[in-house]
Order: sequence, then structure tokens, then C-alpha cells
Amino acid sequence: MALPPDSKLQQLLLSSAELSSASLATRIVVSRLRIEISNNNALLGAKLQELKDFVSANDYAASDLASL
Amino acid sequence: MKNELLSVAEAAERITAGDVLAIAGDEALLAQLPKGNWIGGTSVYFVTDTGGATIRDRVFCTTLTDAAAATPRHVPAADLATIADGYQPGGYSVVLIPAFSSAHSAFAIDGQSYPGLFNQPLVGWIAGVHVDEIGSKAPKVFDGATGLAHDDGAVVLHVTLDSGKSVNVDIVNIFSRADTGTTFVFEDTGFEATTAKVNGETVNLAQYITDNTLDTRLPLVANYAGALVNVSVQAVDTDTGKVAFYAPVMAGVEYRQASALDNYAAAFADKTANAAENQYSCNCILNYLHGELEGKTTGAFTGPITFGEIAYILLNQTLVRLDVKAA
Repeated sequence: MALPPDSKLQQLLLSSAELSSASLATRIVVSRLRIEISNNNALLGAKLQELKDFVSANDYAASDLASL
Repeated sequence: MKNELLSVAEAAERITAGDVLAIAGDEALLAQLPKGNWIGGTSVYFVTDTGGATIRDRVFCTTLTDAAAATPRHVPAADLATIADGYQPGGYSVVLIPAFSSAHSAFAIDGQSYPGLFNQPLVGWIAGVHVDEIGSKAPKVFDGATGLAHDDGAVVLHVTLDSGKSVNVDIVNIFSRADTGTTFVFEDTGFEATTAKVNGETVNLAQYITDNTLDTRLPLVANYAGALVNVSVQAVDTDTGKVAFYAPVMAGVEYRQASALDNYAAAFADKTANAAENQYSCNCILNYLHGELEGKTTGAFTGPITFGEIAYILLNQTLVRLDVKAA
């Protein structure tokens, strides 16, 4: 499954939008990355890559975020 | 999956027959079980078909009937980051960790960052003891592969599923975030805190809780992208100015205190009204104690009462469930 574009994933990380229909795992991972970015904005690039790696490794996460 | 309270002899028979089991019970009973495809953790509190109960003469067995194979192993505390190394393709894993151990705190604080942790469903719980034995008896976890008990590290059962099966992990949180507008934010991650920003103002948290007579039976609740994650208060000490928690508060996360409940058992029953029986589940000792669940049922779910629940991460005052279905 194709990854959402970087701009959409970055927007997701910088928002506080709920992912009510996503799996518990995706919600936890996205929340952790958001917190880490909120605590240190310089981590945005690294955390975006971490999210991409997570989505690439897990079909369920790709499905969760497909509609971004 | 099949959830049953069994005698030691009955459980031993299942193990010898090759069943894959996650077992909870009193240490003296778990120590009598033969080697096999199982892991175990100490607990003497359970929710059964007939309600919550303290049970020391039988063990609570969940037979993982969909398992094609399973590998139990003990992971030392220093190696917890390797938990996902044992994941079997398309399977799931069950992890048990003894309360108050170094593994308990390490997993709680660092677990979310372990490589590959989220690459398949991971559920489990924190082993405990009778509340009268806290401080005098260490909780234990058992590795069925060796039959050995451990008071630190984790035991993990890596399950391989029959083809065509899918796994769903979810949590049932009976609490909601109170609509009071009061927010709590912590500067550091940890199991205790001296200060917190309450509505943006830095205060001594122990004094704030005392001055405002907050009900510490109600957890602090964070919103993880729509999943409500609790942190429960263990102790408030105005002499030292410290507040201890049963799970770590996370730096930068906004917490709100949960709204009060009229009836714990009814709240669980409402939240699990459509649940199927025979899922793997566990529930928190604080819900058991604060909710006075002894003798009360909590909907369709049965299972051990634990000192913390794991659905990828450590949770408090939450029911965790795992369900295997045909894909």
C-alpha cells in the first residue's frame, strides 16, 4: 500500500487530530511522535522518517492512514 | 480462546497434551506446573463467570486455541528492547512482567521506543500479589519452556497463528476526561513527580491534590489520538512533596483527571455489552479494589486482575482484550 505524501504525514504529526478509526497501535505511535516533536521541534524530520518507517513496515498502519 | 479456572492437575494435563496457555495464579500453584508451551504470572484476584474473587486453589488458564505453535521465553530486563525479535510472522505475543521490578519501570518508560514493538499485536499484564503481601512477597513470572520463576525481566509467549486468522487488540477504559478545564502537564517522564503545570501554572502537585481534595482513585487521563490512556495515582506525600504513580507520566503530555463513576461494575458492563466471550483479557487491581468488584461481574470478560495492563504500552485502570478471528 502506498504511503501518504510527506506533507500529509507531517501535517498529521503537527496536529492534534484524533484517529478514532485507526488501530490502537497507530494511535499510540502517532501520539508518541507528536509528543516528542512538541517537546523538541528540531526532531520533526527524524520523527517524520520514523512514522514513514512504521507505516512502511505495517500494512495495518498504512491502511489506518490511507485516507489522510 | 478458552478461559477456565482449573486445578493444578487439570492445567498440568493441558500442558502435557501440548496446549498453548497463558496462566495466572498463586505462585505455589504455578511452581507445580510441568514444562511446556505456556507462560504464567502471579495473581490471586480474578474476574470469573460468577464475578470477582480471590482464588488461591486454582489457576486461571487461557488456552490459545488458534495457536499453530508458540515459543515461550524469558527476556532479561537488560534485553527488553529485543522483545520484537521473537515475533512470529502473522502472529501475536503475550508478555508478563513482575510488578515493582526493574523490567516493570523500564518497559513502562522506554517500551514505546523498542524496535519493531508495534509490528504485531502485543498484550499482557503486570504480575502482582495479594495486597496484604505487597512488600513482603515478590510478584513472579514463569517461563514454561524452563519451568523457572523470575522476579525480573519479562516472559513472552510468541504465538504463530493458523493461516486465515486475524488479531484485534483494544482497550476498554471506563473513564472519561473530566470536563473541568483543569490540565496537568509534567516536565519529566517518570513514576513520580514533585511539580506539574496545572492550567499552565507550576505547582507542587502533592500540595495541589491535597488542597483541592482531588479523589486520587480517579486516574489522570491522556488522549492518545482518540485512545484514552490512564495514569493512576499511587501515593501523595505532602511531607516530601512527591506524588507517586502506577505508570509513568509522560513529559509534555496533557492530562486531565477522570470524571467520577457512579458504579464501576455497571460501567464495565455498559462498555462491554457487545463483547464476545472467550477473548483474552485482563483488568486492573485498582478497578477491582476501588470498584469493589468482588462478587460482581464485568460483562462478558473474564480474566486475571493485574497490577498493570499491557496493550503495547503499560496502562492503568484499563481492561485489555485480544480477539482472534477468521480473516
